[in-house]
Amino acid sequence: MIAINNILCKYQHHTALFNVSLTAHAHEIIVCIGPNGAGKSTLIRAIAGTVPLYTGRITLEGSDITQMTPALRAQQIAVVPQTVVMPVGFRVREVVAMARYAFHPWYQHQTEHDDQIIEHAMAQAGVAQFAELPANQLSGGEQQRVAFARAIAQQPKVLLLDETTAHLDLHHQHAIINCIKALAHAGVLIIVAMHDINLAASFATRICVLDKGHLLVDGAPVTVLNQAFLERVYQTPLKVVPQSGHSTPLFLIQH
Amino acid sequence: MYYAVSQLNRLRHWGGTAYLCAIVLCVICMLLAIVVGSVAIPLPTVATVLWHWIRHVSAPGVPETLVTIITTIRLPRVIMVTCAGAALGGAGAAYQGLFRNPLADPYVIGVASGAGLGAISAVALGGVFAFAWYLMPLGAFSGALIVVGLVYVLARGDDHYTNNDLILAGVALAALANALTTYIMLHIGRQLSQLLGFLLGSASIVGWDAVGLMIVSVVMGMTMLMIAARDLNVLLFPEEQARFLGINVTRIRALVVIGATLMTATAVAFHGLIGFVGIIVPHSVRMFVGGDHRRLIPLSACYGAVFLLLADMLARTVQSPQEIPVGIITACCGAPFFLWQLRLTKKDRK
Repeated sequence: MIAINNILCKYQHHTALFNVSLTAHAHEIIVCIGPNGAGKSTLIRAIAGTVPLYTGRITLEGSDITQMTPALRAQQIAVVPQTVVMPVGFRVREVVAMARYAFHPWYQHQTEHDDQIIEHAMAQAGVAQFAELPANQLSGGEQQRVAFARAIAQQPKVLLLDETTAHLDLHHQHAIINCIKALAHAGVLIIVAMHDINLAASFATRICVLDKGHLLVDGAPVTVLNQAFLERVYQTPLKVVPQSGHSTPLFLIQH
Repeated sequence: MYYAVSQLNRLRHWGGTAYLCAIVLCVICMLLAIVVGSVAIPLPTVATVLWHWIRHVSAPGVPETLVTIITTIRLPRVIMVTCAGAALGGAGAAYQGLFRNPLADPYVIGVASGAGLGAISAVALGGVFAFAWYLMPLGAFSGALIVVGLVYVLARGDDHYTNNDLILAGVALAALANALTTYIMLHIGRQLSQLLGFLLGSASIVGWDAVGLMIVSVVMGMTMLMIAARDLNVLLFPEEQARFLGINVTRIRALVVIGATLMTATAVAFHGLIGFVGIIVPHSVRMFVGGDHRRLIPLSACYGAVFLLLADMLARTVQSPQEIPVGIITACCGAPFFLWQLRLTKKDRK
């Protein structure tokens, strides 16, 4: 579905991704982990088409994403960014409705079908009860969930999440992860960048480990997550706690 | 927070009524503006004259002087003021959205400085060429467009540019234009009162040619802004998020800058630098109808027209028969408005 072929991304004098290649398909949940500055967010932004590629190309079902119009790209790829600040004067429903702008020209109104999609997305993200509230008055975690609802309302083939669960309490982390699993089950390709290795192991079908712009490993959680490798990547001693009923153990920092 | 929520939901219902109120108020203010003046003309007479003027026949029983006052002095002026108010209100709402800054006004990217330089250059050239008062608005219009064009080209560079690039290029070129304006002013040393009147904002007597130009530029500018209005909502998020949602940021920004600048430059060319309309009106309208630019821009244009018509009536009547620059009236309303806004914001934070 998505083929990332030997891409190199730069920010002025700093190279953020070196020759990264990756292929991903529908129904997969790929979690990218790695230390700060590893290139996780850059990878997300490159797939979303907002970071220029110096070399290589990214194709979605055979089409080069850099050649797509922004609207066409938004109809297929949705992103939940790391930080979300809601604008003043808009209700939650209006913010989620912005997801449907890419589907209509400027002079066309939202259809009933759009309304249904918006309602469904708000319900899935657990923000339906805030629908009529001013979006900028919600807490950080609630705003993050509104951004998640907005991304779902784009009905994407690929959903990219950048540290989406970072501001959420345990209950809502659980709810969002269940929602991610349901979307993957429905055929959406999910690519997540996050720091929590244990949370990643709990729902990822594949884990990619990035470090200093290089893709080190890409595989199933049970093969990728091993103590010696993670200690080397994070340069931190780790303690391993086996979990009954889980294929991967818990990784804790050894103080 | 609950106070803000209830306020927002209550006021949202004003959306539909706001359009009706705006149109009714606008028509009432336009009629009043024709009635009020150094010579008060009764409303029935105004109605009779207008009715016959539309049908190209002379009004029976109305002195020719009154017909001349209404059709060649007051009516063009009222239409000009309406258009200028609409231009400043609509452009203000668009710029505030584009720059995500409630303090942004129609002059934010150098329109004022460019117009000032253009006007003073025209006054300086007035000694060389003899073609009349038309030179100053023309100079102001050209100056505003040239400075904003340069700001846009400089900020654009290699295709990608941010709002900050636009503002920084605007600040730099505005400083240069202001310096040149001061230099020329010091050297010509004449017609300074005319220029001061321009800088304070005034609604001078204009002909129907100017009215036509003004209407065309407002219609063109508003069309561009309305095309961009929906996507401008998404530009309230950081630029990258707007791209995630499928917005062609470069195109929308260009539409807003060109549309708003065209309207502002024409308003400035004929009325000088009228401050605060582009700030006060969108702020007030946003409080009633929310932040959606599809409602905010047209309603700000309507209420901008109402506000400027009222300010112009005051400017004409406060020291009648002498007229004071309308910019003084708008500024006198603007400062207390800001203080009131500050108080409201503090209250809401608590």
